[in-house]
Amino acid sequence: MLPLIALVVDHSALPQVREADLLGSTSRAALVARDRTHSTHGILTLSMADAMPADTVLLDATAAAAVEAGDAAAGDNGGAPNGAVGNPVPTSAAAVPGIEDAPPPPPEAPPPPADWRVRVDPSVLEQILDGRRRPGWHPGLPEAVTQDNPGAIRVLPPSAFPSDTLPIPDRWRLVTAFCPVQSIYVAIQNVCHSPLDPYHQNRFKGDRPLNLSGVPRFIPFRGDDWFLTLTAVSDTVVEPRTFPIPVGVQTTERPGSINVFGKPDSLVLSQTFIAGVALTKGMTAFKPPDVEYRVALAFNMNYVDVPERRVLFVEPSKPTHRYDHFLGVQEAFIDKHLGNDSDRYDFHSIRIGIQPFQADFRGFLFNDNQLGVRIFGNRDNNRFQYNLAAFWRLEKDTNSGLNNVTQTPRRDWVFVANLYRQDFPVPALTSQITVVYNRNREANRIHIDSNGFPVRPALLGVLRPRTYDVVYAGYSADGRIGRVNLTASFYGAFGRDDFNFLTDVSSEIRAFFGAAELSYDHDWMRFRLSALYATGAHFGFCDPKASLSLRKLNSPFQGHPHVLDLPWVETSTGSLGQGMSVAVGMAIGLRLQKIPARVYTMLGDGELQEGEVWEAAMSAAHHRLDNLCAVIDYNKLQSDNCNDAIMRLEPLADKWRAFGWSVAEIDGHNIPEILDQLRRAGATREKPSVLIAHTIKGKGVPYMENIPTWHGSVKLTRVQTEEALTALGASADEMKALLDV
Amino acid sequence: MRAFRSASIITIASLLLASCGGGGTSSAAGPAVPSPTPTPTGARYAIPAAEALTTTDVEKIVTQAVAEATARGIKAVIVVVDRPGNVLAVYRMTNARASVQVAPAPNGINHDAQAEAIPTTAAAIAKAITGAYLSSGGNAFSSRTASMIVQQHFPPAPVAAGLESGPLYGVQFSQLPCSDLSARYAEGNIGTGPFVGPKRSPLGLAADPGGFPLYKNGVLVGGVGVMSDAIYDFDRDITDIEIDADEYAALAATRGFEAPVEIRADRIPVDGTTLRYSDARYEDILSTTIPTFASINGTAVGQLIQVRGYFGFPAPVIQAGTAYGTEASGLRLATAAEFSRSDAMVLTNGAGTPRYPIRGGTDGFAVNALTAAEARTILEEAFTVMARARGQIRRPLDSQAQVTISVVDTLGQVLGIVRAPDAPVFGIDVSLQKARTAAFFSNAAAAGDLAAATTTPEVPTYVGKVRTFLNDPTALTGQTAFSDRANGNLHRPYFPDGEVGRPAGPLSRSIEEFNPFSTGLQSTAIFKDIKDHLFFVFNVSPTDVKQYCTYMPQVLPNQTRVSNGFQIFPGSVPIYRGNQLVGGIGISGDGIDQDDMISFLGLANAGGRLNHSIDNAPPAKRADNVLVKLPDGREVRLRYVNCPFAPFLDSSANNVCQGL
Repeated sequence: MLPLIALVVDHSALPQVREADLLGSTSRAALVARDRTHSTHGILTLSMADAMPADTVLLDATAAAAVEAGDAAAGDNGGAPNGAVGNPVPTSAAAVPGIEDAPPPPPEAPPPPADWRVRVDPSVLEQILDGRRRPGWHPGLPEAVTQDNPGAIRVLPPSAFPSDTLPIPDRWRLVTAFCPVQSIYVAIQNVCHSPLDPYHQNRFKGDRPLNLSGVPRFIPFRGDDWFLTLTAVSDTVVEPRTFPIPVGVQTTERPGSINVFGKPDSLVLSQTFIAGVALTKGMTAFKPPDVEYRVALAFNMNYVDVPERRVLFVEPSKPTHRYDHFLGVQEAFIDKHLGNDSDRYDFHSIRIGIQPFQADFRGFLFNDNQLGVRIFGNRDNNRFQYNLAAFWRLEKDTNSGLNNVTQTPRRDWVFVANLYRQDFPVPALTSQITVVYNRNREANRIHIDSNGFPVRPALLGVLRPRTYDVVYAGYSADGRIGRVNLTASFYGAFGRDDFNFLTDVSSEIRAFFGAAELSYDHDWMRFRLSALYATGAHFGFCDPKASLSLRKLNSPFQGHPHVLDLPWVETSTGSLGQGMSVAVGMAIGLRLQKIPARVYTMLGDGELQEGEVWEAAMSAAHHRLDNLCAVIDYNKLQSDNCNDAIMRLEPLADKWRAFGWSVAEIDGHNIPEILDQLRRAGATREKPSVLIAHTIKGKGVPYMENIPTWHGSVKLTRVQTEEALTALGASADEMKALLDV
Repeated sequence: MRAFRSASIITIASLLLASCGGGGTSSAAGPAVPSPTPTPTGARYAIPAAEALTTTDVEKIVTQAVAEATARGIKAVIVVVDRPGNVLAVYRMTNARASVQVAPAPNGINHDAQAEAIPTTAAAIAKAITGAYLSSGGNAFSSRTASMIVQQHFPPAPVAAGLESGPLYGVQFSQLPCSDLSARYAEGNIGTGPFVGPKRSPLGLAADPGGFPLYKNGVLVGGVGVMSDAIYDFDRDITDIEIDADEYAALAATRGFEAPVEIRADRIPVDGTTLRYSDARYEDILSTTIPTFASINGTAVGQLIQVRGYFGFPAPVIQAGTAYGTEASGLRLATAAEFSRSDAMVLTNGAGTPRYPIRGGTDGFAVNALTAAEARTILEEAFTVMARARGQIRRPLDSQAQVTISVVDTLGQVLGIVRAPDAPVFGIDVSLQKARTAAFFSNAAAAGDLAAATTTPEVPTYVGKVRTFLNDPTALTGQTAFSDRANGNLHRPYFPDGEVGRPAGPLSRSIEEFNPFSTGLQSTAIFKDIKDHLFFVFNVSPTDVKQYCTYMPQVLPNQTRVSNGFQIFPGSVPIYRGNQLVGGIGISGDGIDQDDMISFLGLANAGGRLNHSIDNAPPAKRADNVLVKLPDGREVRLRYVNCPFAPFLDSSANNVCQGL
């Protein structure tokens, strides 16, 4: 584009302008043209800040420069000028903000003509220099070139094509097209053909297909679209570190080491060489390869020097430095293209073997080279992408972290399904949903690393062998919303750990994780804001203070314990009457699974007014659920009043007998009698059992006994609490402890 | 108990992950002077409430155990003790074994207690004592917990072979029947202070599951022990879940007297590994009906029986427990005249008189002995360090450490014992063992005393073993200051400790012969005493064991330098005046690093107060200058002490022992 003259308040540009001013106008033009050529921005800057006497001169110079530079640019480039050629009017006002008040316009300047065409001889309009163009004038396409040299193709002028693309038969010819064997561009020539240059085309890095013409017949590779890619990577880490290092427990490197921490300085050297071979079949730049075979081996050498004993090896007698090396198999897979689904090469593919995989944009959940099977592909012009993968985790070498295929793989499997959607929910943002299932069965395996330290079970907590199943469900996003770049992940982990390593009991896993990073780019600067939040897993210890929120809203101990609030609660207790139905279902389920456990359900007497109880009772008798025992807390009161005032229950025992239950009436305050009857219920066959436990609500606290208003509103004053505790026989210390909570 | 192996493993992990970059820096070097100790003001420790088991409680405990034993088809002996260690009941179910066998050596070549036949009653008493003594208001430990911390690797698990020994390695040989410190049962409970504690145990502390502490209103009131099976054993692998009938019967017995859940061993980690409280679970207890005591006592079910030296004379009747902390228990708060720091507890004779009033050294004939004022200063400063220290084994987190502090002279004579009001009782005897052991091995007379031991022919051989091992023909003649940590390094079945494939230290049994019933010099030196006692308990011998341990020369009438036996886990340092050994200070009751720090830093601070008239051993004399050359040329240094990570509640300082 032709330079328009912009006036920018910029002191730094001033000396340059003044220099231009000192030169003659011709030289000035040359100077400007030179600027134009060598500056990527190419805007001549003037200063408005200095109200200099040379303003007018400057403007003249500028105008001249503009004209001459414009000509020069047009001549050099054949580019399309944008209306300034031949037009001596310096600039539009818009391009020169604030210039109005600087030079007064010539007093007698004639008004410009309405349309310059009317003043020009029409024949002049047809005359134009070869290669030039003029706004508003289209001479028509040049004559078509007739090809008469078979097999040859000439690069046509871009204007010959309706679009700006040029089909090239093979992707390896993309570069050669710009890099013929003979070329006048010596610099490019070196780039193309120097074997030392990384851009040099080479059969060994997949730039050109293999020539398989001389290959013996028994090698099953045919065709001219096989590519070989050899890769070699060298990674060197030199890391001096300083952080607290404990002295050895059994012996120390130096005398006088009488504290837990010794000297802090350590050095880590690590050198990894990765060599890879890939054999790929596939033709074009955009079409995915039909098949790929890939192997990558990594050789790591590492050296660590620490100041203290028993840091690098479990054996305290061993020295405080260590050299180790290992050859790991980081990639070994076959990728078979299953087929294309659309003109734009939407595809499905299967990849089997040790392969890299990252489960989300940032690899929060899984980012490893592991043994697995993965089916992946895309749909809808690549707007959808998906992965279905199963991995069997390999053991890692201790000191290199590389895959150790000489050891039995771990009894740990990861199953991944994810789906990406581009431009969703807003353009330029890709959304992903992920479900990962991790199945671990390492209960009977111990693993000690090559330095002698225990790895599994980790030397943490109870050390009991354990297995666990966890499902991770998550949403991730990556892209931008407007000018704000966003990358974010949210996960929930749900599952079961059969021996929690802290509590030593089976526990639910329920944990959440969220991470987000927002960034904003300004010029070369990027401003980032990162946040990460993870909940602790719920280990099953119950916060004793939470029980103080009994019958409070949002408390886990609200009136009806809820299965979602209390991990050890298997079923919610509301609505009234459902408990009995749940118990019947559990009892049937246990019987079907031949599990000899028994189900007990507590029923309130007011609850017996719910019809669902009687449906369940009928069902239990029908199914002869002798593994079910219901206990009715028969205190004759419910929330609002006495049962009898609301709906009479008697004759209660007869009702249950009529339903086909084994019935016992007991004193609900007599523990031996309760235990005795529960045992009898356990011995009853072919019938469910019900214990009608006659109780007194508020038993032991005189002012509460048999008063319905105390049912659901246990709000006690300190005096009332003391009175109740006294009546219940609390000792002075218990009283103090309970009252001071 | 170390909290730092996990730290070192984290370090290793971070070194392995070097290529991940990052990593913070922080100075590992601490201050060169100890942090100033604040002057204690007012009450610093909560005093345990005076609770005790009633005879009804004891009956209930016994019947619950009997019911569970019956439900599990075992014939057991059940013992209940109170916190001071008085035996409140010994009940024998009909047809319970009269004797059981101690677990034999792995290779069948038995030493010391290995494979010995012992009275079932003695085993049950040891279990009950273990439950009562290892526990406190801040930690509830069982005999299974004890098993976990006395073996050659910690934790005892297949994955941990190669790690160092249990933090309380050797504690099983404490509370010995020959101890001069432990009180003895007086038949008929006659005399002054018949219920004074701590009492002895016939077999030291037990590692065989089936011993639990008993709590009443959250206060530790005693322990229960059950023994029925044929082998008095220990738990070699904590990762499995044993169904142990003894443990179930004992756990069932604790119903109504359960340890608070929050302080049970399974809520207390050591080095990141959670301790084990019980493999038995309350929900799997089989017994549901509990008989009355009358229906089981003197009936076909079983009866209370006499045990010589412990219970039932003139007739076996259930005894009520003695409240810990009262004068009658022999463990009460010190008066201001007895000890200047508030909330300190001292040992008394049950009639108001302190058993170990602070005094000067009795060895003035040989050395420039510690004065009473110096001994008092050491005890005060150690008490102050303890009161600032963060307890490792106590819950809730950030509780103060509670230990027992003993100071002895070079003859092993007690110059003073003070303790925190809720420190575990076992630490009284153990702190004295540690103080004496440090003073003994640092003493010029050590080799001579060992060589002159009579009746126990193996004891003199250890002098040569140590001298050969250290390649020092003058070893054990006082050139080196041995802390109990250093002494313990030489007293492990692997040297260096835990390194599989290495031969044993010179004071230890070889790993082929080792189990917790024979540790080496420690057990050899006192096993004749235990055996004498067991003959007495078995009613074979008419006389009980002498009331001082070992057959080394008597330095005073009926006193050897280690009159309650050696102790071989960390927590003590010798006391020096310049280059001259004048005594030892021993600590027991919390983590071993805490015990180390309280002894070392307490002594250093006392030295500071006393213008260094006494102090820790000069650095050049300490055992961490001893370098042992192994056959393959590697060199292994002994340790001296290891002060813990972030040890104080009132400061975040680390490396607090630096430069002292």
